[in-house]
Amino acid sequence: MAAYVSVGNIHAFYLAGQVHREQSYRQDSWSSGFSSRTIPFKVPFSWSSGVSKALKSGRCGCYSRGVYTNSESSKPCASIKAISASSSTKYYDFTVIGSGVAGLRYVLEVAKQGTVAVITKDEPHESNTNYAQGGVSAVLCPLDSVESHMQDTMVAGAHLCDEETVRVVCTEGPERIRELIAMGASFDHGEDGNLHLAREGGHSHRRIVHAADMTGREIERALLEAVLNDPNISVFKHHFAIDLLTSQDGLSTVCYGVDTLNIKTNEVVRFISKVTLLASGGAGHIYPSTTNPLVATGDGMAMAHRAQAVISNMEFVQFHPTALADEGLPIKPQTARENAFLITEAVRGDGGILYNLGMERFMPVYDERAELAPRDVVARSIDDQLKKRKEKYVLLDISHKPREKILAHFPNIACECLKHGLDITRQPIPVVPAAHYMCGGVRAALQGETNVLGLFVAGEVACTGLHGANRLASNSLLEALVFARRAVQPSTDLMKRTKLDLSASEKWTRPVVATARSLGDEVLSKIIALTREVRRELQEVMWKYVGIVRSTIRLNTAERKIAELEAKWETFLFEHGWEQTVVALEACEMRNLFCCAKLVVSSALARHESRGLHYMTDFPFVEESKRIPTIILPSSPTTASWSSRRLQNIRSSSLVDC
Amino acid sequence: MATNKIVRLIAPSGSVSSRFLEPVSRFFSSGTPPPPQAQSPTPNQDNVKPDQNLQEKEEEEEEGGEEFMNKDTGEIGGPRGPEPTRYGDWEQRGRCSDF
Repeated sequence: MAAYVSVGNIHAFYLAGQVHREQSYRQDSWSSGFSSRTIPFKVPFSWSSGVSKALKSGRCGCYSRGVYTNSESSKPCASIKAISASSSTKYYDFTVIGSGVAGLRYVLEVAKQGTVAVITKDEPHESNTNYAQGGVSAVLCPLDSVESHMQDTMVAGAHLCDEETVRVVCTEGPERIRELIAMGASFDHGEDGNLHLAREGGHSHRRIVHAADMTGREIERALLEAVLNDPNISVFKHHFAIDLLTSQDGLSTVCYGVDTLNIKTNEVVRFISKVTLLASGGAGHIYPSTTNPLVATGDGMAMAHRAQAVISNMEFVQFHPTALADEGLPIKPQTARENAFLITEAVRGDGGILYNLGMERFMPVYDERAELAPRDVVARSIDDQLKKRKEKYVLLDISHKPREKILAHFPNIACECLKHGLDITRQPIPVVPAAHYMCGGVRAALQGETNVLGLFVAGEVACTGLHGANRLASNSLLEALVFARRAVQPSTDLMKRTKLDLSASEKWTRPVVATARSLGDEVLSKIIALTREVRRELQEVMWKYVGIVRSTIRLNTAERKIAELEAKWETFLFEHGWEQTVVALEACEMRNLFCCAKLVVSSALARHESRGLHYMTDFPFVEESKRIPTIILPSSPTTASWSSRRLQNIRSSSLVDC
Repeated sequence: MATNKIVRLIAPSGSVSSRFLEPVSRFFSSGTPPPPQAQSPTPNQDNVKPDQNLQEKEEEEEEGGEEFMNKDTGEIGGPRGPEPTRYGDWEQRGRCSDF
């Protein structure tokens, strides 16, 4: 059964999939709720031109359903004054989901053209951006070159990057940095007044701009300050995005806004807008150990998939090999650590040795460089040891080095471990890999367009083709800045051509908040307790079967276990009074985690080679013929689970008009 | 504000130290955990002989004494101690924040 795809937006991909079907085409898996089709195939034209062409051919004529009129030749449509018919429905020219660097950078530009709502599920500064404390890369030294930055990016990405995307990002990066400085971001500089540029692993030149050790936070601060001072921008914090509002217009899927849950007041708020930007970040919490803050539950990727957007390259999950393993600390932290504490390469560089819990030094078995092998080799080795020995962490021992040197170089580690009863000058440090960054996401064209009209993406939630199979250090903030800026023009053009029918807000059924009154106190508590337990179980399955070292058998097991877990969870909910449109924060995050986990497994199963971050024991080598992106098409609405289909239905009365 | 930043970049002076303090103070007020430099020293550090390099660099501090200049790189306001990227990742006092 064909997944529904709209001709004119990804028709070209669908055709290509059929042409190359003999080449590692993976059949749908029809286990319950798992009905997305994953196809690796050769894109017959460049990534960006293909998507742009497809999108242009789709965007013609009018949307005749009474919500939008798209009149290319008429004068620009009026900007929406930020009105709310009721507190439960709000109208804006632009709605932005996410308040990290991508969202805020975009917002500051489009606010010059129209009204903007920023939706963020926690405090505005709570995002992966804030924890990105290294730097942002750009060609700012006269001895450096765009070509060099491009080359470094493509090598890091194992040549799966889209060349045009890489060129655009590396070329436009410097200008984006200068703009940030003009907006008030303070980066470290030298006595001569020039920016101080550092050189990080994988870069051939010094090109990392940074602010002491809190670059992301500094950028976030500067942008947030500007945003809060702009009267055209309304920030809605503690608003959790539930699902995008879309409908079919002919063969195109069109986005009209998003439904949200105000977590503080427990009310649903519907945002209707001409343009929507998804900038909701990553999905680290599909794994038990992650550097991501708690908000990173893959909400955007899941919503986009449910809204029929194409997802790409989800198998490329970046892990750091040595995060402090709380399990191995004598005194466990009282509350679960939200962001993994990463132990620097410098510990290994300065002579640290890795042991398994049997006190065997294992690295020499995997690589003659032992602990000084490249990071991904170390990560795979640790992962392999943990899986073979069924253990939870390994040990990194620096205690054989002089005590003074250890404390001088690594006081942060010393302090953190001492707080929990461990003296690193005498005992080894327990470490485990942690999920850090998602290279894949919602497939974006060169200006952040997706195959859903009116929906743009930027930042970690997007898959732009920049990172390929592995991200180069400090390129993620850069990608967010460049794409957020690039999405501005097409967004503004679309906004000006679009007229909104204010009565259309009731076209979709409304989500209903789960309350103790509607479900009963006891039932609600049981559901929340089960949801927390199910989240832990999902994370364990992902770590155990979809970790750093993968195999077809393990991935198939993951697929089956996730389907069973999801069915068990959904059955419990629906047997206890839950319904299609009922929402609660924990449940909505859980359905997003399920959705993202399945996207990762599905993509990983489809790539029959090892490349970059994706390593398969049964396909351990790079295959040139497979140097193509992995694409996930939208799933069929009829067979999808609750996590895979959009919450809201279109009211049948709305369809009568067509 | 933009003009101020440009002036500061061209001619660093006393104003630079206040710029350095700015993000830190705002950082504290946001309620998020302190950056590594702001952590109180561990009891063990009382026994540690100061690193030779660190001592030299401290002598190079600008007048006003609040901003640190790295003798080797000329960087002002940057991290003290060994070069954060010396092993490829971005580390500060042992904690990695980017790679």
